[in-house]
Amino acid sequence: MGRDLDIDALYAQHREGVLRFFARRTADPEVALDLLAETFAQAVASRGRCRARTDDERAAWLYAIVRRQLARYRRRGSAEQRAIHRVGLERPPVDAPLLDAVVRRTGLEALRTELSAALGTLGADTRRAVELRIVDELPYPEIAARLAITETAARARVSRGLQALGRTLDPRLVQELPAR
Amino acid sequence: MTADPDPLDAHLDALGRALHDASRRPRPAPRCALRLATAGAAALALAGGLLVALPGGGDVDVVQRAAAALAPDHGILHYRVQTTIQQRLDGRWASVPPGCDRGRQVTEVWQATSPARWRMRSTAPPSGPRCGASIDRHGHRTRTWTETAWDAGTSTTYDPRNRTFDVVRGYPATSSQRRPTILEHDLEGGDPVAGIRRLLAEGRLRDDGERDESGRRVRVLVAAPRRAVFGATRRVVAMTYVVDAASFVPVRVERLDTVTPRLRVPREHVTVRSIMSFERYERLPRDAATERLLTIRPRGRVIRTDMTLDEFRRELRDPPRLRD
Repeated sequence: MGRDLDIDALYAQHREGVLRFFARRTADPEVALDLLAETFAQAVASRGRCRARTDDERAAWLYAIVRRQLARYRRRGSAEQRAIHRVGLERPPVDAPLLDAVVRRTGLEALRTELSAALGTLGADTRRAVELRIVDELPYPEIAARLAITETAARARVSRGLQALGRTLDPRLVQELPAR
Repeated sequence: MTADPDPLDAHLDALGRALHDASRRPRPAPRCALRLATAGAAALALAGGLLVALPGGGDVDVVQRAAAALAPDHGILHYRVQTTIQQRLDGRWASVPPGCDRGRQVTEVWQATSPARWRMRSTAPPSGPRCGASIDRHGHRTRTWTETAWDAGTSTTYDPRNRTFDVVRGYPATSSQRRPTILEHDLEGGDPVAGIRRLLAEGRLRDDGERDESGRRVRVLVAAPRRAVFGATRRVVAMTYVVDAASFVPVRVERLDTVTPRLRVPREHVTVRSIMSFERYERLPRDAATERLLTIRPRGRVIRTDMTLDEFRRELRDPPRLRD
């Protein structure tokens, strides 16, 4: 029954898995911490509607919130704070040593190393286009201007680079399933 | 003696305690009440914002004179602009990429509205060991200059040195290809005056007064910095428009773009400056002679390729490699 949902136990069991899930998909420790807090705040806010009876069902219920938060983040470009405000969650502060610890614990360094190594396999022009699009996240017209090529050529260059990266990157690093 | 706890463990423990406290508080109010309260607060904030924004519109005389001078007409817009892109490195402005003066490009545009058509002539980027190479769809290095044109969903590209003339048909009306590829989105598809006109109408330009520049009297209009978030990347874009003091046509547009990318370690700022210097900006009367300026006229024999957008996209999946 929902009223029996033990938030403390749910958090203790899944906090690192959820954090790793967000970190691997956003490549940003700060955003991952934001999404972690919002996810569990949402769990607190909606715990009365949880009908899960087993650990597996509770994990599935939690990860439905996790995936919804990630989708919203990708759509909006920023992590929501709605549930945090709603339940009055007082988040502990975030500082540089903490972010470094998140990078270490979630294996973000490996992902970044992998990405850097993969970029190194691309030609200079393609690598620069991919960096501008994926790392610097610039719009195509600006990439075209910076590389002094047409927008069509910029799109082709990024597309070519991403295809090559897709073949090079270890998919397990990018899409690792959450630990249970 | 005990070791300091890992900062992440300490943070996760503290968050767990905060969640525990939050879960012990009474349930939050129903959502509909919250939404009404939020809507009310938003309305109040909006009204407050308007009250703050309205008196800050700047010099009314300048705004009215500029708006009158920049009124749209139905002629053919013609401009020639030199774009320079530089990045802040070690406290000084350097070319992008460093060691290659690739960020400097001259673009000339002839542009008509209703219906939208344009022709753009661009100098080819310099090439060299530090610059890489730009290649066309045939795998040839682009040199000297190229021309691109747009008319009713058809994009045409002409490379005089490689003697290629490529026609791609079937672009949707909303395609980004419909606009000349010059740097700044705020320039409203290639016409900087349209961007200035819109910013003036929205009260987003501050008049920074007149000054002399290279023997010319100019007026400086400064736009409020624009903040944007792309994923976890934060960007702040600051625009300055230098216009002729009498006619208000653009003399120079400067853009300062400060980006904090998410994958850079450490999360350092990248500051890029783009300067668009207008060597010419004029409106030509629309007649048979000026209409011809909107169409590419290749010289001599060319290798012509006609394709649909779908065919072009299929080709992009297997792009060419450098052949020369």
